[in-house]
Amino acid sequence: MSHPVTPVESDGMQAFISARQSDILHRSIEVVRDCPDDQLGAELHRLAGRLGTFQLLDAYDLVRDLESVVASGDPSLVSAARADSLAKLQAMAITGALESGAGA
Amino acid sequence: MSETILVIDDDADLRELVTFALTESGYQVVEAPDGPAGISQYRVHQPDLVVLDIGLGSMDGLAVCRQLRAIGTTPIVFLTSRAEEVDQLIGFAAGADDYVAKPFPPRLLVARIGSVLQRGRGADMVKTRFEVGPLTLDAEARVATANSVELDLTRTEFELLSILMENPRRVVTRSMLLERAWGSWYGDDHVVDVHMSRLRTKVKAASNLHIGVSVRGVGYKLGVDSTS
Repeated sequence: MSHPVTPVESDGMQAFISARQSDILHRSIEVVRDCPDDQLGAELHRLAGRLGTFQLLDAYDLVRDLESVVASGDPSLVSAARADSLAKLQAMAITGALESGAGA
Repeated sequence: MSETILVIDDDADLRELVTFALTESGYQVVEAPDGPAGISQYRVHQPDLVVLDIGLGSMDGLAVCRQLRAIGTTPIVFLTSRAEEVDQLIGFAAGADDYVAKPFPPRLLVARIGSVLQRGRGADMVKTRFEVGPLTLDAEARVATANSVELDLTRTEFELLSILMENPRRVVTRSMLLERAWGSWYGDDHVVDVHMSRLRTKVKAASNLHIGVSVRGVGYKLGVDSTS
């Protein structure tokens, strides 16, 4: 999947985005884990826009894929895809935290 | 003095990011988390441009856009995750000047805002005289002509023609026409149709031109046709 955002920003904007990525990723996990099924499609759509704009591009791809599954309307597929996406997002958060800690 | 941008978005993260990007570029920024607050801030601050999210909560961005258009002609840039073409068309019909889809690079948004403001500054320089095909209108002299024939218009008809000529390629909503010609109006908006019909009749009688194309459910666009 191609990414729509080219991260060519000012140093200030780049720092602004980097400082918020971890928090946004953790709140994304909460959405995927806790959002009621009937609101999930709309929430994922909003979430994708936020993740992409904040340059969390792997998470953006993941959420867009999950959004496609939700749009298909098959509850069994949605449940499995949701669990898989949640695990991958959590792994991204852990990896990000480790990289952040290593760089500190 | 720097230009003021009103940012209306219920996503606090994106609102903060847009505010940062615009402030970094030298703009003053006013924020609002929903439609009613945005309209309130608009009235207080009279911004030079509005960045408006379509997917707001109880009052969506299209409704907010229509209300803002009824109040004034400040440029509006939609910021939205609904990138499908039909949504863009609806956005433009509601009065948007440009459209940026999420996710977006902040630099792109700032560039688009700068471009829209630049177009607005250019428009300000010629805002009292308009010429569209065989129609001319001088807002200061209060004179309008069609095929060089001066039109005998009432104040309301002149205002309706003015707003159509100021926006020759845009559909002008009924609420914009009502606000411009009547100010606050609480009655049936079909009053617009009645006066538009009279305006068309006068233009037709004076010049054999047909103007004012109705766009069902939205409003009117100018349209100038000498064949009918």
